[in-house]
Amino acid sequence: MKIIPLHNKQKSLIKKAIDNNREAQKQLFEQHSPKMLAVCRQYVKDMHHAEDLMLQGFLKVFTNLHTFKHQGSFEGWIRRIMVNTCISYLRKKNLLDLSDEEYIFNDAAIESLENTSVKDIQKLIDKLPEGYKLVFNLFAIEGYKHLEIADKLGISVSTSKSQLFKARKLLQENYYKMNTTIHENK
Amino acid sequence: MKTNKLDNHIKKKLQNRTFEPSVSAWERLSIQLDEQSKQKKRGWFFYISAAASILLLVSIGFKLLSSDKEEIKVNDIIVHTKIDTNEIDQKIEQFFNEVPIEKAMVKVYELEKKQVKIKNNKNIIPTKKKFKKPMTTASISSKNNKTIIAKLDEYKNEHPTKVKIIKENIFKQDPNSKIKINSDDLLFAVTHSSKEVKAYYAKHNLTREEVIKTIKSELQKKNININPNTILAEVERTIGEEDFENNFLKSIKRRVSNFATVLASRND
Repeated sequence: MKIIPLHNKQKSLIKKAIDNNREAQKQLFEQHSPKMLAVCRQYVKDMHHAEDLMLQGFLKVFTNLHTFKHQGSFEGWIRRIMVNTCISYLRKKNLLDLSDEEYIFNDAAIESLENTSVKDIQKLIDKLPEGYKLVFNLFAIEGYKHLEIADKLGISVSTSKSQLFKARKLLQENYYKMNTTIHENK
Repeated sequence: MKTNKLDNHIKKKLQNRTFEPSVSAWERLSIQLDEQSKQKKRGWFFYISAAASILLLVSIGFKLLSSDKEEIKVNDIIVHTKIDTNEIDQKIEQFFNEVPIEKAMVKVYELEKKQVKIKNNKNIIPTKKKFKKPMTTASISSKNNKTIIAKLDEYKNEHPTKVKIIKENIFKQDPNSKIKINSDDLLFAVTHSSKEVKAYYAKHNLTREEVIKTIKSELQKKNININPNTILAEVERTIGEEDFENNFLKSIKRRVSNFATVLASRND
């Protein structure tokens, strides 16, 4: 009962935003910008850079709003634009290191991550190299398949898989280090 | 590869995370949107104007190239040539020399001057007043020619030489030929003879040379290059007219002035 009016309201807002109605555009921005800033923050350590990327993403959103067919989630559509914007940025800055290496992943003791705060998890992710982090974010957070990641980043599927292994391995190691430091301080 | 526990745990923690953008975020985005819309409008206008300019240049080039190939046709040919008055005068003089007035005239008109009344011949020999139009020998029909010859026989005894000339003129001419005669010349031939002109000069105590001198001096004053004899011949034609008799020299001057006027306005 409540979803339909909300959906209709969003549809009308989108329609107005397509007609370059600045108020409607502002409302859409205010609705989705906090989540989208978080998405961008996953890929870029610096919050100012993340916000710049988010604004670039929203510019693309409003420019290409007429191409949105209302067939899927509007938030998911915006999210994909944000991710692509971040990938483009990282690629331009040559921050992607997607070299292949063999890693043996050990998922023991991952259970302890449940008690870790979001802030600490973000710190662990931020410590990852850009290539690892990107593939990890795309695979683990955004839910892309390796085939899609390989297509998006212009790499092979096996590279995408190995990047994910490396990311996980490094996350695990960093997590242990972080826990050890916390316990020693206590 | 399947998602493991680590992935799920991190996803759970990060997926619904939010960050509040800065206060100026929307303002910055709004400015970028304005600039983009301006660029779009400018871009559209720029491309249209560029296309129009190219089209204009191409059309001008095509026009110029095509016009080079066409031959330029001059419809109006204007030729300015000077009229050689000397040459005209020479031709006029030549005309007078070639065709003496006495020969050119039809002597039959002299018959009337001598007051020879020829009955039923009014159409052929008109009176002095009536005769204004130019007349040709061809216009005289053969029937009338017979009448003329018949009437001339009566006059034969009095003026045998003149009649002989008339006969020669009539019978020697080809009936199909045409000779144009000036009406004034014809009139002069009818009304005056060389004897009469001489008599006129004697009466007014004038010599022909003096008159020619007067004409020359008038022509020099007017700066006209015309044979004085031509003008004198023209003047002599009008001997006998009342107003002419009253002032002979004034008439000469008036004639010269008339020539000057005609020459000046010939190109109008």
